[in-house]
Amino acid sequence: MFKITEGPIEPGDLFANVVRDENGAVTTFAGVVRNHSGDEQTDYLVYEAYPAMAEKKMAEIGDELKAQWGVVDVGMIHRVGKLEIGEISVLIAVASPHRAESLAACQYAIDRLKQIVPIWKKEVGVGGESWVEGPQVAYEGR
Amino acid sequence: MKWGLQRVPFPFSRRGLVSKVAALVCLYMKIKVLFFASCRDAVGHKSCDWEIAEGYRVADLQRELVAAYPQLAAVQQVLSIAVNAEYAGNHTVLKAGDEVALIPPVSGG
Repeated sequence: MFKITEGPIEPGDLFANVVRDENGAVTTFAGVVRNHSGDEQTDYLVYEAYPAMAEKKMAEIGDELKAQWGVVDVGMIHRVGKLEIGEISVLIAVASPHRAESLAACQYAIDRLKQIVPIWKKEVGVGGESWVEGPQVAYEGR
Repeated sequence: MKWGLQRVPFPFSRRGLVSKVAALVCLYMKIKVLFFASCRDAVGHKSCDWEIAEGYRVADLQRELVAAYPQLAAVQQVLSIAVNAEYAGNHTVLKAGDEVALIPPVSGG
């Protein structure tokens, strides 16, 4: 499952999608809204996505994981809209027969999501609001 | 106005007429441009229609968009462009009905 959603994400939402008889390991990663960015206090975040492309790119990352680590099942959900401190913004679950592959693949999945999946966050705090922009251009092939 | 091929005077061949009509249609090819996050704030709307000519490339669109919205000039170096939900290079040729998105550096997660 690769999905952009407006509703809340629960920590266990993807577990049932990836657990299977041949998988001995499930790694899940949850990105959670924290109350600060650098020295600035954050009141809440607003996420925006290009949903059709974001879901497609997440599915491509899933394919990369399967090709590189041989993991069996992958799921990714990212929430959009206004998120309060402590709420889950992104959830990734990666299952494989043994733990090493699912642990490594899950780390890669969140790193890759932050590079190429068209989702943006706006930080809103006492100092105002601003779009956060990642450290690199999303597509280097231009 | 009806296009009757038999009424087309010399020296237009039938082939010439077809290519002229095609060129005329192409003159008014329309695409949709999507703006996200900081780009949306910069231009003031989520999307717009854009008219393009035949052979029009991503780089041509970007140049025209920056001319129409000078506020994009500051961010254009870090923009990525997607055509129909796939990242595209500057030389990608656009066609009628394409959906082109301006993608600032992403910050999901």
